[in-house]
Amino acid sequence: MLRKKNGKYISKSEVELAKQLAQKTYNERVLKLVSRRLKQIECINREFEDDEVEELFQRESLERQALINPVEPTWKQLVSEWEKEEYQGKEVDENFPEIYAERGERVKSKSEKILADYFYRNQIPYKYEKPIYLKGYGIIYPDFTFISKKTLKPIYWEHEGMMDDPLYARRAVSKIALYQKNGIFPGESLILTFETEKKILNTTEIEMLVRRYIL
Amino acid sequence: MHGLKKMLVEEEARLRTTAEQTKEQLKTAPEGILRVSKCNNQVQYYQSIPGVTKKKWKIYFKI
Repeated sequence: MLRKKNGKYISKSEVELAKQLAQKTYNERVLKLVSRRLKQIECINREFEDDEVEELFQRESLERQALINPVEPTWKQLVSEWEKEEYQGKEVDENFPEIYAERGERVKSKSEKILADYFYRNQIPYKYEKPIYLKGYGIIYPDFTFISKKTLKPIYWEHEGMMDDPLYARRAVSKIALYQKNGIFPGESLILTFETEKKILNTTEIEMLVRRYIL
Repeated sequence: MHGLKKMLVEEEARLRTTAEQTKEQLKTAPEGILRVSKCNNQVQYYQSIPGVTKKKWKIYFKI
């Protein structure tokens, strides 16, 4: 075994040792950096809350709140403003069965009623068929529109309920592509639910999506 | 900022996992450090053990 001032020579047959030593140094460096970052993040996480600025306003008495102009609108104020914005929904074709959601608006299918009622019962502010303009197409009416508490930006929900029908499915695919062309991506600001004869919409699925994207 | 807390908590968890994994790997790591020497386009590896291998950090130049 050769010994040099650099240390013990590692022969080709011991290449695994060289790998382990290289990995060791790398791991030590990773651990050093990660430990430093962990301390910093732990320190922030101990006291930081997303709505800490809003909280300062909320902690004031109502009498004081009335006198203060908050530096940023509170979530309640934002939602209230958003709800006040009027819009003209899509007219319902007379051929559609008369189905009404609990909030009172007429919807086009039982599944849309399930969705609308879920949002209403869970106090999730929504707009039904609020029009938006999409480049390359024109006006489109997403089934539901929300304001995301996480991003404070609109979130659209499209329910495609007849995916067994090839023509319907093709239209659904084109619609999704159109959304994407306009920067509205599924899993970001577009929530999609689908139904077939065998796969029915359920509240567990709705709940999961609401938690992930809206609340 | 909305959503930042969630991201920070997720990042903390990710870093914690990374730290645990590296710590675990280091438990079984061999003694010493790797020194790589290149001579006539040939790479040679050495296992240098601090305190045992003398002059371990010196760099030698041959002219």
